[in-house]
Amino acid sequence: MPRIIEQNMRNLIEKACNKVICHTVWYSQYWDGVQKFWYLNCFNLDVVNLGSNSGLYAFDYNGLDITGMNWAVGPQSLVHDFNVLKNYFSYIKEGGIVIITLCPFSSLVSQYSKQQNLKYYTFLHPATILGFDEVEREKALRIKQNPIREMPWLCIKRTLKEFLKHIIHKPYPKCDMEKSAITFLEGWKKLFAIVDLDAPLSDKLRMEQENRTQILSDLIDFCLERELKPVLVIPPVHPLLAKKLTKKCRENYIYSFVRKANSQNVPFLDFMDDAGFQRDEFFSNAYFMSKKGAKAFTEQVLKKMSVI
Amino acid sequence: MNRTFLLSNGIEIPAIGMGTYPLNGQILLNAVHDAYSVGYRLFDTADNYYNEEDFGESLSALYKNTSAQRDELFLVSKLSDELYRPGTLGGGFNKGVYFWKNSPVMQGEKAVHKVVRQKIANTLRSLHTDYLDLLLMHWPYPDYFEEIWFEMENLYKEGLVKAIGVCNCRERHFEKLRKNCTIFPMVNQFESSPLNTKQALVDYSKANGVHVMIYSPLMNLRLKTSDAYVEFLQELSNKYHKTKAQIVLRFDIQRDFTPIPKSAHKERLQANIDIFDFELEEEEMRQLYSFNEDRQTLPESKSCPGL
Ligand SMILES: NC(=O)c1ccc[n+]([C@@H]2O[C@H](COP(=O)([O-])OP(=O)(O)OC[C@H]3O[C@@H](n4cnc5c(N)ncnc54)[C@H](OP(=O)(O)O)[C@@H]3O)[C@@H](O)[C@H]2O)c1
Repeated sequence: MPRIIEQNMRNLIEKACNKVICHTVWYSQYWDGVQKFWYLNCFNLDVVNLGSNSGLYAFDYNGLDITGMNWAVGPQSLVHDFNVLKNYFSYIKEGGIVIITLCPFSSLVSQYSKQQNLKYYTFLHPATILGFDEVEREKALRIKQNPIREMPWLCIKRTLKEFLKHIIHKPYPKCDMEKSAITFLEGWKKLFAIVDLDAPLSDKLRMEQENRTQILSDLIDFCLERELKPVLVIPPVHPLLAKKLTKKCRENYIYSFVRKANSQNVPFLDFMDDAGFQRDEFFSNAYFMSKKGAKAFTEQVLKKMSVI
Repeated sequence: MNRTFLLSNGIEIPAIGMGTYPLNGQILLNAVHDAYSVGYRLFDTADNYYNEEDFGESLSALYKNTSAQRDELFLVSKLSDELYRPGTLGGGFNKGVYFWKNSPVMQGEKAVHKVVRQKIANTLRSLHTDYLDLLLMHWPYPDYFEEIWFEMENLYKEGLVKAIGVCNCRERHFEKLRKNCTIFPMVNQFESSPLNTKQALVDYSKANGVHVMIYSPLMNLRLKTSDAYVEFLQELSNKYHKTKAQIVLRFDIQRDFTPIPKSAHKERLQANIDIFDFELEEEEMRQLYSFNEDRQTLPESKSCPGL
């Protein structure tokens, strides 16, 4: 076969494979859901929310009479929330609402692996990527352009697996909320090296919190300077998890942090124990909301903000 | 209708110019020649278009082959961050090299001063000239916005540039500069069209003596837009026997702007400047304004995060 025909055939097959891959769930998870920024073409957004995984699962604007977008990326820290906003605020209308989603440990610094950082190269300006590395940028862009060529085995394996799962269709086991709550708590304690959640913060964590306080404060100022309306929101968590986040723990890690950062007094909506979100059906695990929960919660927040 | 406008310092700026991104080589040389021969005098480039040297060669050819002289031209360039070169991975996107705090290039003492001096020296050398008619800050780089402006003021005071201005600035940027600057920007170059009228910014510019230049003036014609907009442009096009591009450029001229359309084709260059023999009626202007949807083809925050 002449080389040019072979090349064209190869391109065609790659294109077809990539089309399939781009529609899979695993590929979206590979990029932590940042594809929404690749094709962003909606201006004058009425409302957006930032955030990490908890924000990602807590907001859903479909079916509401406003143009909203969920800009949360999971997992990520407050610094990246700010960087996302810096890169994309031109898409929000003047006077638009920016929901800054806070989670129990937003005030602390988490370390991210190279793989977790890779996604940022596909949608952020280089000056806003922490630890920018040209080699990583090229790697990310090459994968984005042509996943099947860059990681053929992973693509084939994961796509086939997803396809088979689809055919066999085993229903998800019901989440054991108590177990899930413990898993999350223990995970956070390990991640941030916390022994006792009720004890005062260690020196290291206190310094991290101070740094994050400044970032949150800057983020709020940034919105106000651009005539955007920032709102701090803590989404609901399952009551079994809420119960484990004691008064003292919340004061240490959340409320004192918010008080210090929010000297501008922008609205702060705390839904952690909200009576309207106590039922299991609103959660897919003790920390993340279900689709149903997200819809109900988003509506609730926007009503509180008198947007709908 | 005037074919020039006066800047706040009394310098005359042509009412229309030619954009040069991403032209280079022989295509740029031909385009500059064609543009000059049909009446363009303003040419817009930037240090990150990677065409300043070729543009300089185009100018040399122009001086040699026509009666063109440096002092009848209005040369505009910009101080910019670097772009990944067109044709490479991520080509055309910003690199984050210049004017960003975390860049290694900006770590030394007086980094902004050194970078600005080096850039203007390169630009002047490439363009075979000892002055620019207008130097613009390409984006309001948030980490060094005021420092860059301070350096630009000095270039102006030294006579290396006849006028200084900014691009992509909003009211808040001007107000920031106002606090410490000794010279207020004379020009703001930004994107605008009937789909993105930026009227509040325009009003502010007028009130503060800032002349408006419009980049990507024709890009709105490539966007998927309302049928009503397309139909209305067609109606005006039929009425005035002008193309839609000419109608849109005329809209800019009647707002007292200097648009800088780019084309590599002589017929289009010719058409784009052939807009001074008709006038849109007030009601037609009003209707064009009504299509505003704040639509950007180059979303500002993506090009210069945090601006
Ligand atoms: N300051 C800034 O931040 C900034 C940003 C972007 C651009 N700029 C400057 O602004 C200049 C213009 O912007 P732009 O190039 O983005 O967009 P533009 O001038 O609106 O032109 C867009 C395209 O329209 C085509 N065109 C030109 N005349 C036409 C006509 N009469 N009918 C139909 N199509 C026509 C051209 O293609 P052909 O060449 O094939 O004719 C061109 O590629 C740039 O060259 C650059 O100098 C500045």
